[in-house]
Amino acid sequence: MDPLDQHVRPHPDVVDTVLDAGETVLLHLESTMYYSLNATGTRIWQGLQHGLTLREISQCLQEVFAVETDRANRSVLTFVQELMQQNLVQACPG
Amino acid sequence: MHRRPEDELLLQGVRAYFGTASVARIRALLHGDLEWAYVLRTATQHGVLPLLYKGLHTADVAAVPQPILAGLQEQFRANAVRNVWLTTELLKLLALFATHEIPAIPYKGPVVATALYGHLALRQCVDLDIVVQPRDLLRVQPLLVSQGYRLALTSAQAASFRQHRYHYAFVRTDGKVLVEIHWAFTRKHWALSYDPVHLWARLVSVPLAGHTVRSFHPEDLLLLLCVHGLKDHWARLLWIGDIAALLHRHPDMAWDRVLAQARQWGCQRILLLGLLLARDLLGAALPEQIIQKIQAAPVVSACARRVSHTLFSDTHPGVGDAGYLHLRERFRDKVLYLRHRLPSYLTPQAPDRALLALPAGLLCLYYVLRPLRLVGTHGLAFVRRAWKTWCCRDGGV
Repeated sequence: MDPLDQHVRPHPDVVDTVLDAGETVLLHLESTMYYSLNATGTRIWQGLQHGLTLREISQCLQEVFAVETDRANRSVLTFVQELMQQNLVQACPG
Repeated sequence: MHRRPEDELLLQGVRAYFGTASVARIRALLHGDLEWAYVLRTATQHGVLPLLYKGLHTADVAAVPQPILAGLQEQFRANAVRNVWLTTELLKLLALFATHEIPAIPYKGPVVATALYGHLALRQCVDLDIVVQPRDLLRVQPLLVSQGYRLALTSAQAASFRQHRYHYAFVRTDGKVLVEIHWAFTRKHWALSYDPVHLWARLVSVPLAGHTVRSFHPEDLLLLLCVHGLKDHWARLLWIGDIAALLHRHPDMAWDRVLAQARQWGCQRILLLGLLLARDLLGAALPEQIIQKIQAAPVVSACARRVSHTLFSDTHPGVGDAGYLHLRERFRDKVLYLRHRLPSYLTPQAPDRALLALPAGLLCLYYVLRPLRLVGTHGLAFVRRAWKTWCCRDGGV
C-alpha cells in the first residue's frame, strides 16, 4: 500500500486542546509527554481526527497553503512518522 | 470512625494512587451497592477524581460498572485537556511578566500537578495562582488587562484589598480562567512570619510542559500548603492529597530544617496538623521525629479528628476558632487573631434578637444582652474554655 493511502488515527491515550493562536497542544496520558503543534501540524492532526487518509490531508494542505503536491506529501509523511515515533498516533488496520 | 462506603471508596481509591490502599477493601466496596452518582460528585467536589480514576485501575477496575468507568475516563480526559489549556495560559502569563522584568512564581495548580504528582492530568486545577512581590502589584494589573483579564474591584476596593487581603482575582473576559495574583499567603491577622527574601532566594526549577519554571522549595511549599489547607478549613481532600504527594515525592525531607522554619513562621502545629491528616487519611509515612512532635501536642490530634469527621459533610467548620487558637503556639499570634475575630463575637446575631425584641432606640442593648446570653446558654464552661484558649500553654512542640 502506498503510505499516503493509509489511515492513521490519534492514539487513544492522547488528549488535545486547541489554543487561541490556532496551535494545538497534545498530552499523552500514559507517558505524560507534552507536545506543541504549529498551525500546519494542527491541520494534519485534525485531518487524522476526521479519519482522512494521508493523501487527503496532503490535498488539504495543498489547497490551504498553495504548495506543490510533492512538498505537501513529504511534509505529511515526515510529520506523521514523527508522531508515530512518539506514540501519538497509530496506524489503522487496512 | 464509621464512614459511608462511598466515602471510604474515595479515600481508598486515592490511597491506591499512593500505594497505601487496602486492595481487598476496595474490591469489597466495589462489589457492594454503591451510590455511584454520589461517588463521582464527591470526588469532583474534592478535586480527586483523577486520582480516584487512577487508583481504581490499580485495584480492581473490572469491578467498576462499565458505564461508570466510561464516565470516569471521560472526566479524567476532560480534566487533562483543561489542565493543558490552563498550563499554556500560565506559561504565556509568566513569559509576559518576564518580558517586563516582573518576578512571578506559579504556585499550586499545574505546578503542583507536575512537581508533586508527576503528571498534569492527575490533579484537578480550578484556577491559576501566581505570587508576585508587593512592589510589582500595580504593574501586573495593566499587563493582565492587556491579555483580556479584568479585576472586578473599584480603585478604592483594590486599595483596601492591598491593605487587608492577600490576593486579587482576575477573570478573563471570556470566563475561561481565573488568575489569582498573590502578594502574600494569608490575611494579616494570621501573622505568618515568613521571610519573603528567604522564600524567593530558595526557589527551585520545576519542569512544566516542556518548559522550566521557578517555584517554591519543597520545604517551603509544604508549610504553605499546610497553612492554605487550614485557612480553607481542610474542606477538600485534594489539599490533603497535595501534602501526601509532596511527602511521597520527597521522602528525604530535612525535617529538622522544616520544623525550625515552621517555628520561625509560627506555624509548627499547623504543619503537624497537615502531616497528620496526610497520614491518617491517605497513609503518608511520617518519621518518628514528627510523630513524637504530634504526640506532644494533643491539640493537633484533636483538630485532625475534627477535620476527618467533617471531611465529607456538607459544611466544613474546620478546626473552629478555639482549635485555631490552640494551634498557634505563639501568644502574639493568638492575640492578633482574637483581635480580628472579637467584633464578630460581640456583634449581635439573630439568636440575640430572637431572645428579646428591642425597639429601634434600644438596639445598642443587644451588645450587653449578647455576652449575657452566651454565658447563660453555654454556662461557665464557655468562660473557662475561652480563658484557657487565651492562655493556652499545652506544652507546645
